[in-house]
Amino acid sequence: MSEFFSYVIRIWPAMQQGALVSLEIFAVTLILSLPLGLLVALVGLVKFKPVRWLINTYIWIMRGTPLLLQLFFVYFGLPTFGITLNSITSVFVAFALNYAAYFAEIFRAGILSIDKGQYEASQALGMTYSQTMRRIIIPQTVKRIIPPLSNEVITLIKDTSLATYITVPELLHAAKTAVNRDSVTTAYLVAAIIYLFLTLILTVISKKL
Amino acid sequence: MDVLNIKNITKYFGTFCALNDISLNVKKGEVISIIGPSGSGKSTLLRCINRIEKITSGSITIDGTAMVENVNGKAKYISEKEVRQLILKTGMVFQHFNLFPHMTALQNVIEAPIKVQKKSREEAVKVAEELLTMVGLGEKMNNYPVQLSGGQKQRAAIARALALNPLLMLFDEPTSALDPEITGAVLNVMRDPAKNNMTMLIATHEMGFAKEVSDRVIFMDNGHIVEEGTPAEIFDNPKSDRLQHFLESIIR
Ligand SMILES: Nc1ncnc2c1ncn2[C@@H]1O[C@H](COP(=O)(O)OP(=O)(O)OP(=O)(O)O)[C@@H](O)[C@H]1O
Ligand SMILES: [Mg+2]
Repeated sequence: MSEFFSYVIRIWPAMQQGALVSLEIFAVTLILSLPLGLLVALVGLVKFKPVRWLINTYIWIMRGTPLLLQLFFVYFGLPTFGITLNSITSVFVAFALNYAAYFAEIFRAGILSIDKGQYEASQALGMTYSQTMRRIIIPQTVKRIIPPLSNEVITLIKDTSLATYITVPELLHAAKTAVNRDSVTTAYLVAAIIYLFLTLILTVISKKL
Repeated sequence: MDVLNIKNITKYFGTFCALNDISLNVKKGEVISIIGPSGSGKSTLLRCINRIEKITSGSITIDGTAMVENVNGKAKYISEKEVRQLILKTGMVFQHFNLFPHMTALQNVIEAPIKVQKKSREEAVKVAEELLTMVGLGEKMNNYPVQLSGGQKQRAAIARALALNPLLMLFDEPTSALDPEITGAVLNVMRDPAKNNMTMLIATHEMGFAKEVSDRVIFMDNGHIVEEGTPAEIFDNPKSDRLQHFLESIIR
């Protein structure tokens, strides 16, 4: 038993370092994809058909193909088109675009669930479209989309592990390195506990909102 | 000068004609009730006046300014920005209140004065407090809509519309969604502006109230104005078969 703990203590710095990278992917993805998703959702509401078609196609592709495939495309595929990104930047780009599509769907559903009487009342009070969205529609939408949004955010914590495939030194990568080096699987257990801890925190936060 | 001139307006939803060649002039201080069977176009008429719906053809002039005119048989609106300015002269009260649920009664009332009319917060709050007190919600200003009864919600909505100091109030069946025993409080709140020379257009099924407060009653059917006149003419001496039939059907 004490052997187990001393091993955990020994690998802990590397695991912690990996967890920090995972959290970095998590945070950067959210910071990029939440506003982008909102923008996509709002643009997707315009009446002009070609714009809607474009937005729908984007969402369809992002949700219809695996995130890992998209990550490979950005990291291995884009250099063919003269765009070469390092591994962590590739993760940021692929994750932001993918999660923006999911968030856009959630925002869109939320916005569409608001009664049309709210728009009519705003219009009758002389509010502009942007005032109506900012002051009336979006604040009401926020409350309704917190549950589906929380689900996606929790999924994101776990999805950060996909970055290991392109050798980003995140948590799972750190665990794998330790397992390969020391020929014991304890590091996987430690990684699992860290993921559980992170998702638990997020679950608790989302319940409080 | 007339507060509202409506000339030969039509409104189509697809191929369905909801308003068919409606003309109406409203003088300052006039209280006009619009009655008629369900689907006759009462709501649509009110909604066209403050451009929640756009008319297909015809013209609408509010307080001397044309909002929409007929150009080659088609309705042509002034710019979006000008329309927004102009419809501030109208206040709308909806059947289902349409209060903003994430704002208190007070916040509902001050929203447009501050954000649209760019009044100072203090001034807006002062006016809102007076209006909410007037409609009997002095104690409930900080309640959210879910914390108000149906009748209280509608009174808050009336205060919200009055806060922009409109020339013309449009009421779309303000009491239809309410239990009969609380319609009285809402109608009372409407009596004051009616007596104080506020110009009002009221789509209503409350015949007693229409009879009492109206200077003029309009009977609509199938998108047409079939008959109009004083309350006495309309209710005691209906000329058309359709109005006679309608009045019989609602007395029950
Ligand atoms: N957005 C719309 N799209 C299609 N048809 C509509 C729309 N709004 C109203 N209509 C139709 O226009 C007609 C007039 O509707 P309106 O709501 O003005 O009637 P109303 O006189 O207010 O009836 P009620 O007393 O039931 O409120 C109805 O036949 C209705 O079905
Ligand atoms: Mg109606």
